[in-house]
Amino acid sequence: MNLYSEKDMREIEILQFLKEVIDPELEINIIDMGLVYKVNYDAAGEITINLTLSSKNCPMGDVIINGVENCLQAHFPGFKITINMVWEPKWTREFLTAAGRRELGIT
Amino acid sequence: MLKPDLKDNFIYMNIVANYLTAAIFFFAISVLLWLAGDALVGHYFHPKVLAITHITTLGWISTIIIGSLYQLVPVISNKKIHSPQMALLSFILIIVGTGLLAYAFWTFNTGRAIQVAAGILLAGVTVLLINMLLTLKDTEEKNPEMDLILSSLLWFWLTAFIGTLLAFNFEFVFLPKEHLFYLRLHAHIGIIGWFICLIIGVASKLLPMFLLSSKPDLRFIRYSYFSINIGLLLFLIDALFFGGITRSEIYILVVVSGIVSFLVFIAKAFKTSARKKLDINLKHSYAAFIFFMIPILIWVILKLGFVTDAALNLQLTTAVAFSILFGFITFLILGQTFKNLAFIVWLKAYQEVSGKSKTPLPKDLYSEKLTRAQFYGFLASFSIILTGIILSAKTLIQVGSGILILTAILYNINVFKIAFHKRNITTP
Repeated sequence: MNLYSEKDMREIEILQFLKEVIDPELEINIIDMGLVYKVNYDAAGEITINLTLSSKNCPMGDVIINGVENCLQAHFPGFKITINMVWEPKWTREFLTAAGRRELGIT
Repeated sequence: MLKPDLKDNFIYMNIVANYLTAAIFFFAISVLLWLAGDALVGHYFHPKVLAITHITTLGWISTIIIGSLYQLVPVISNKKIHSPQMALLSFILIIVGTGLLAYAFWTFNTGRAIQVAAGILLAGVTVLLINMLLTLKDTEEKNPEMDLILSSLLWFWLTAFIGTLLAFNFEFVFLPKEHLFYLRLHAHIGIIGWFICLIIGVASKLLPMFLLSSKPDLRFIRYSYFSINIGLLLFLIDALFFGGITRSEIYILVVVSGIVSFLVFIAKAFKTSARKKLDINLKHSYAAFIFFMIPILIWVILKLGFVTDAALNLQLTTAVAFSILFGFITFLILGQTFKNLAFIVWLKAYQEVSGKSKTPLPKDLYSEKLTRAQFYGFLASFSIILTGIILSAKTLIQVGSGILILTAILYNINVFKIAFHKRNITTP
């Protein structure tokens, strides 16, 4: 018996793909930065991402949003990609994964 | 009107042109200091010192920070630069004006040359101010960083205006008080109002972002905004209308409290930074903020009357200006250039393909090895020149300037490398 549904599998896959999107300033991928709050895969042809930034006026904002769109379009051609910018909860360093903390030198 | 894409391209070219021109001016400063560094021993009202000072403040520092303004203002105001043509016009006017002004001071041509130069510069600064005011009008974003940027532009205009009056006063002598009195106002407004206000506005926005600091406390910046602007305004009004130049220390103390408030903000940003590994560019910033304590300390020593020797007093006054312009501002710029310029060039080349293809990172656009060498080169040259100024040792100033020439070459190589970067992508 498969423990994960098709939807779960796809969403895990999306999280893996999004590791290809790098914050060019910090040189860390957006998953390890903890910028992706939610992923929703709809087999009917839509992927929705709830995304935040480390600060509202982050100059890297457009690059990251563009990167997410490009990355998902490359892996899921023909899908509609919707990115919702989310500011609550506000991003803090607690959102970094263990790998992200290591890369930033936080022990 | 230009189409939006063309408008963005025009502004991009303008920003890169600002960085390239500033880099060339930085090299020119190092050569001029080497040629005429001995002028730094003695009174600062010396033609060659005035020439070097104006190339430093206008050609180097102002040019590069105007370039960063075109980059940052749209980010914090959520509005595009009003007119790229006006940006280009002010760039040309400021560069031509600076070149002519430097020539006029160097040759001490206090007639037509200096008047034309000052007029061109004032026109350039006026165009810049109008363009920025039109950009920022109706913006919904309100924050102390933007207030600081706006006030700095107004002070810049006033600095250029007083400078123009001084340029004409050489020949026509119409100002009611002596020339040096207005020179002092011109210098204080330029350094504190234009540079310090602008740097606080820009750094308080960018540094916490780069450092991933937790919850920057903007009350410190609001205090800086009010104390620096009020202190400077009172200094100006009292000096001009109530003969209060002797009370200037009180107002400068108010200004210094605003600067200290900003330094506390920055110290907290570094302390709460999630980035424990600082890159070489942020190390430049870190050193610059520590070096900012030097002019404050020397100023306090001077004002407390510890120095009774007139010659040493004069040298220490020059040391205060030198350490603000070089130890603090130049050090900060040398690091931030490789954050800001590399980012904007990277953005232009790779934003569209980010996440789609394997791209280099902004840091791959320049040589980090050269930036590290530049860091130590500048550290050495600044320390040696400053010691030379304080001890009136011309040989030290010359040795330090020699190292500064090498540092400027390293900086120029990297800046040109970034500006002329060719897109390089690999499809995964």
